[in-house]
Amino acid sequence: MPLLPPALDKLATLLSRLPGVGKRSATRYAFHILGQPEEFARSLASALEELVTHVRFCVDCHALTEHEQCDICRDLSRDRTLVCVVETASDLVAVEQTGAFCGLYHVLHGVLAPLKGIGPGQLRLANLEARLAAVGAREVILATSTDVEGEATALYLAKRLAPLPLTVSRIATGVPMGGELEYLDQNTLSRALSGRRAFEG
Amino acid sequence: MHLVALGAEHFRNLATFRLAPHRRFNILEGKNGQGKTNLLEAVFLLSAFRSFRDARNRELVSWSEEATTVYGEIVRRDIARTVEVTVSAKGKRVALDGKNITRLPDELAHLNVVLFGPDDLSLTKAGPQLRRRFIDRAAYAVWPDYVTGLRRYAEALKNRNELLRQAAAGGLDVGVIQAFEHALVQHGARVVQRRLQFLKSFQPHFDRVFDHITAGALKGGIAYRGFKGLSKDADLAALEAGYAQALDEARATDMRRGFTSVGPHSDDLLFHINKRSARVYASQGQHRAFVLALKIAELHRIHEAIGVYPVFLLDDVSSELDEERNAQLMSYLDQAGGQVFITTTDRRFIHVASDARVYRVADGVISAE
Repeated sequence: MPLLPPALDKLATLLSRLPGVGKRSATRYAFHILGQPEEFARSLASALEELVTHVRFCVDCHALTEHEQCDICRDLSRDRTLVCVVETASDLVAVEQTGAFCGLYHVLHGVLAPLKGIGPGQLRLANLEARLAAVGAREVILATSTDVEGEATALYLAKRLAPLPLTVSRIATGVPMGGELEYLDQNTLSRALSGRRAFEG
Repeated sequence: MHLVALGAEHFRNLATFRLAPHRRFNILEGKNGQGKTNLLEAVFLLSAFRSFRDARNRELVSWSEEATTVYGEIVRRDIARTVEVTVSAKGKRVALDGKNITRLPDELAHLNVVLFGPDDLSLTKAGPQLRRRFIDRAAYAVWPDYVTGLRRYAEALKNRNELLRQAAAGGLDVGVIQAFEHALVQHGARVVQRRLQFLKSFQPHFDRVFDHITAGALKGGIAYRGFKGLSKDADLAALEAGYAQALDEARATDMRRGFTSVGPHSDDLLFHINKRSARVYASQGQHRAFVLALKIAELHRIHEAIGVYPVFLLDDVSSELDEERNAQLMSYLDQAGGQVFITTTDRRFIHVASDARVYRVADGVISAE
């Protein structure tokens, strides 16, 4: 690789730390930014600056926000009896985009992962019980992923919340929409069978 | 199921080659250290995307080269598929029918392979790890999604072991350890259930073959040894309950030792001849008869499951087996009808009636005769 001016090399090195971006693509991005009108680089720089100065976690649900409390927590039209627990802020966006959920959220910012040194203390859990009581939640939906760590986290939370006067539910797993049964792996299919429910015609 | 084309570039010590293997027998003849087993390893790589020698990626690539590519064309019931595996120090890349696969699905049963190598000759004598590998590979061929449960079990196990060590250091969170034990029990019970199912369906094949090999003189048996009180007829709920209890009882000891002592990762297969432990009492000849019956029965069981014979890789066992066992193995393979790759130092060990193609392997160069 030809020798790059230090500033360009520095940017490329930083960009290469992004997920899925290797050194080669990072260098291409850096050149691309340089090739744009100067205004682009300046907007990008100020956007990054704003990102770190303004974006923070909601004090209640730990979602991303520019305020003390996020828009969802402040929205009084939302159903406060329903709280959906998700792993990440991007999971929240995914659930929100379905438009099928109008309750509140609680973002853990991770899952229990003993091998990575992540225990309950590293998750945003400290205020969970107090918050559920404060909003008067009647049901908590555990929407962590269905891998080993996500399942273990859901089970941990279910046990921890069991003494509270509310229903704890788990998102359904099984046959995807439009999925053909014969192509499903047996683990998924057997879970779909054991998790069946009465037909609602 | 058979390979109609097989090739590789920069694979270990092998010179670039491109073969059109015979539908039945492919005999790879050469002195030791010439690269015969490397060729079997290349076929295995096309199937499992890893080496059967547990080699690192770098070791698969020729000296002074960056990457190796192994290529195969597989025909199964008149449908041809191509598979190409590229290995470098950085990782592996797989293309199936010319399309790159970014994330390997667990159930890629595009090429079934059964390997019979020198390791297997100690199946009945050595530690339980070899026997678990035997049943896991065979069960995977029969139920490709078996491997998903195994992986999830292994993941839960690593987490529990880590928690045991943290607990020993004074950081016990009962809720967290319970959560991971729940996962361990769920996936572990499923693994045990599948292994028991496999043994039940495997036993008739084994009995028939063993009876034939020993001319009816001996009766072989295979039992599963798992957690205390395990019944081979237990259903999934009973397996979960039994395993949960065994974990419970072992917890204090496990915490002291820092690892999990019960579960499918430490289970074993017990081999019997005339109701006596084969490991303890069998003669050298009986050990070989048992191993031979296991491998042939494995072929039959997989054939029963997928409707075609898997590709059989036979790594220089003919010189280890006595003449009689050798003749029995060859006659079975002759009758069975699948594709076979055999390495040998001397083709006179290989007596097959079917058509065969002989390849000479010398100093990494493979040449057809």
